[in-house]
Amino acid sequence: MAIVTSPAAGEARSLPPAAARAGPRYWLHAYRRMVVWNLVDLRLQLPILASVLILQGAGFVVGIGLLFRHIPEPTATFLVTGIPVINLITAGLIFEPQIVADQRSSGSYEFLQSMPVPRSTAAMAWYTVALATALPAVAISLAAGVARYHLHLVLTPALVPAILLTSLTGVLMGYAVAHAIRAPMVARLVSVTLIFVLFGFSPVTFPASHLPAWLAQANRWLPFGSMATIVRSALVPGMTAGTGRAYVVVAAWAAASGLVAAWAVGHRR
Amino acid sequence: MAAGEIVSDTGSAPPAVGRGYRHWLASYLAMLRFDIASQRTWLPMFVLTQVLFGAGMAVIYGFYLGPMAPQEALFIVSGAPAIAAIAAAVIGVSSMVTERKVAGTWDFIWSLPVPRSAVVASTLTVYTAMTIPGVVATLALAAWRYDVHLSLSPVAALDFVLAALMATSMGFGLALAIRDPLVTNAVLNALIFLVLLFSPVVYPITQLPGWLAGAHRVLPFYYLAQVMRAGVTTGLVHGLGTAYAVLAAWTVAAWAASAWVIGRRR
Amino acid sequence: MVEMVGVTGPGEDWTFRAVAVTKVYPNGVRANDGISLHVEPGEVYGLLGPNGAGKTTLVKQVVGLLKPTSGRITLGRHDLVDDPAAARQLCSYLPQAQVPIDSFRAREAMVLCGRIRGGAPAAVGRRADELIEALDLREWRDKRGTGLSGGVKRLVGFAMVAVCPGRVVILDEPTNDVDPLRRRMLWQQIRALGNVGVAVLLVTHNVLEAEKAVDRLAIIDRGRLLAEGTPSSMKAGDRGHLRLQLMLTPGRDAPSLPAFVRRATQAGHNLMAVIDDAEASHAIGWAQQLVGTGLAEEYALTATSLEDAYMQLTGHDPADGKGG
Repeated sequence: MAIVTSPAAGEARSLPPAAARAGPRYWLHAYRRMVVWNLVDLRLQLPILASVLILQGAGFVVGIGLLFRHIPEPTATFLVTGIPVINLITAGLIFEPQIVADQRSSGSYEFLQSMPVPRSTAAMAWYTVALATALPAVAISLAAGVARYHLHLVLTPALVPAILLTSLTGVLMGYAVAHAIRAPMVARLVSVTLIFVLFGFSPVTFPASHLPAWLAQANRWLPFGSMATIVRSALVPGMTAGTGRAYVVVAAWAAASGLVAAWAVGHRR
Repeated sequence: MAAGEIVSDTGSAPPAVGRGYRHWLASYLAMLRFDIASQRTWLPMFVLTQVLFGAGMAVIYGFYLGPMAPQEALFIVSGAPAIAAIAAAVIGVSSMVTERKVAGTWDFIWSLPVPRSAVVASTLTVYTAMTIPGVVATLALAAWRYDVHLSLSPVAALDFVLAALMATSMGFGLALAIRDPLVTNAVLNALIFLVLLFSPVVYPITQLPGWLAGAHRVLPFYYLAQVMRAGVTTGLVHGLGTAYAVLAAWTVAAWAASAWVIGRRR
Repeated sequence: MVEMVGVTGPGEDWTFRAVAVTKVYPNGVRANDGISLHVEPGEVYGLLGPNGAGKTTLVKQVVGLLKPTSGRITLGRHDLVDDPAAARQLCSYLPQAQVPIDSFRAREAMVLCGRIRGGAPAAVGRRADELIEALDLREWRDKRGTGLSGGVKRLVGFAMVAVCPGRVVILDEPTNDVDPLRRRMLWQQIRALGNVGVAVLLVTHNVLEAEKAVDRLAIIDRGRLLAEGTPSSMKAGDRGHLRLQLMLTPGRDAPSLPAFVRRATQAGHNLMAVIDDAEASHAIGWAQQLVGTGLAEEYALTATSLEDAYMQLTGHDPADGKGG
């Protein structure tokens, strides 16, 4: 069975019959289509979301300077190098649960879950789009920080894996929250709580020494502080203490979230 | 029975067009039932969001500052309820409004034979009431964390309710005004921290540079904090009249904006 | 070209089979109870039933949104329950809810869906244009989803599924909100899908339309398959019968029914009585008498339809059911 459309010389005249396809080339094909789907689906919102993230990052950088008149360079460096983490995580952890909650509420969730693509392509396509949305904010926040506080940051190659991994972990955590939690309300609450923990209870924009001992200890196992560490070590020359361990922690969180997410979307009631 | 007359199953006359304040009151009460039923889903989120933000923010600020003087601590604790109210308004109310948008509930509500002002009044009543427990819990938690004693004034309850109403109205108006639910939530969630961090709610307005302090003499956040602070402290808050006046202006603006959004036909 | 596993060989079996599919939800509700049916390639198969009968539950298990408690669902040699990823590739699904195309332009959505299914851009584009013509959607070709009415969106949703269809195409209430003229076009396109060898599974509550468009149908109620067959075979029970429709006068008492009325139902002022062929003249005489005495306003004598069989089996008036 094949559908033959109106003949045109030299072009593919028929549409392929449905088959169960597999293999890396198929995966890439499906991935590319899903990236396009995500971009079109969110085409009206992505520019705004990207701007919001820029405002978030740059606003934080500038605002802190207003609040505390004099900020010593080490503190400013710590702060500014932590902000990219906030931008990267917001995209994955806040946007996706909201998007999926809206899909559930509006009834379009089932259509999307029945699309003939491997689930991993949908997830990786969203990862691509979320990362792309956050990158301008990361760049601008860092630039703003360097300019405002006269910092000396270095763009080392280690920045690439740091950003890729941080964003991936944020996206997978958001994916897990969005798909594993059926009630949109609870999903929203969880993602708001996580972002709150990120902002206020993790050594991302301020050092762990400011936290009570038990919280500092807990943060050795939570992902956010480690994310800040790996990004920071790629920007600040000579600061590499604990980077190896930090990578392991973040990667572990990515793997665990990935497993939960895979179970959540693959699991049928 | 005259030929051609339609008789409904209940045997009563067909619905007439309701007018007047009695109809408004009846509609308001009916919508109250609707909103109270919906609060069952939303109350946990409200309380949790408020406690998280209110008490949490108070605690976080301590992390940023390190050890602090008793006056500073009092300022933080007396400002925490305002943070809780703002969090409830911005995150809680807006989530509810956008959820209703996405599920099509607003279309259903606006098609009901009730005056739209009654709908808004009912929603604001119920969701303001939902703000109170979280605000109180926040105050208790913060006071305990910083070991501060508060002097409750007799008008504390009134202060809190009015402030909560104002915050809820503003959150409601804001969420209605922004059409896209995803954008609304993204904007609010991403920026709430900045708003809370850079508003003189848990620290005196004098700490801000001139232009930012000036901005906050127009924006509602500072005044919201002052009004709530007045209910639990003595001698700390001056110019309460101005605070109420500005807040009233913002609340009316929020109501007007809501009315305009609801009234316009696309 | 993409690598293809399991490409069709000549004479390969692509029959869709559901065998004793049972679905019990965690809260104990038995949504499907031992449903067995099969659909040949090229057949348009209808699933009819009242609200909550379990039709949507059944089709969701085909595309892997739900998992059967017991039973098998196969497409040729593919086990759809074991391999939900393959199920999604082999089957196309148009759910009851609107498709999420707010930001998409109509043609854009169709082309993207076709390309996701592996179609080449040029061929997919042409096919999308064919469907736009066939469903008279030219006016909305480049309009965004937010600007489309419910009925138009439904048609666009169908086109998204039909542009590059799976071996099985599942349509859950495809004609909801669609205007009568385009509804006919839609039925034609559904038939066209069957003509290229697609097995179409059609969930509908619209008995009369289903009667015209399906090859075979099953009536499902309370999770069970009550009857299956072609529309005419299902009316066989009423062979030799006619239907007398009376519009009773409002405000007058309902008339007593003469003996030759086999069964009757009344909805509002409409009285429908089933009688034997042989009693046709008696029936007309009675009806004319009712009109003469002012008890009825008008009458009509027609062939029985699937509606009657449906009502008999399920005890529901098909006019009640919407969705399910």
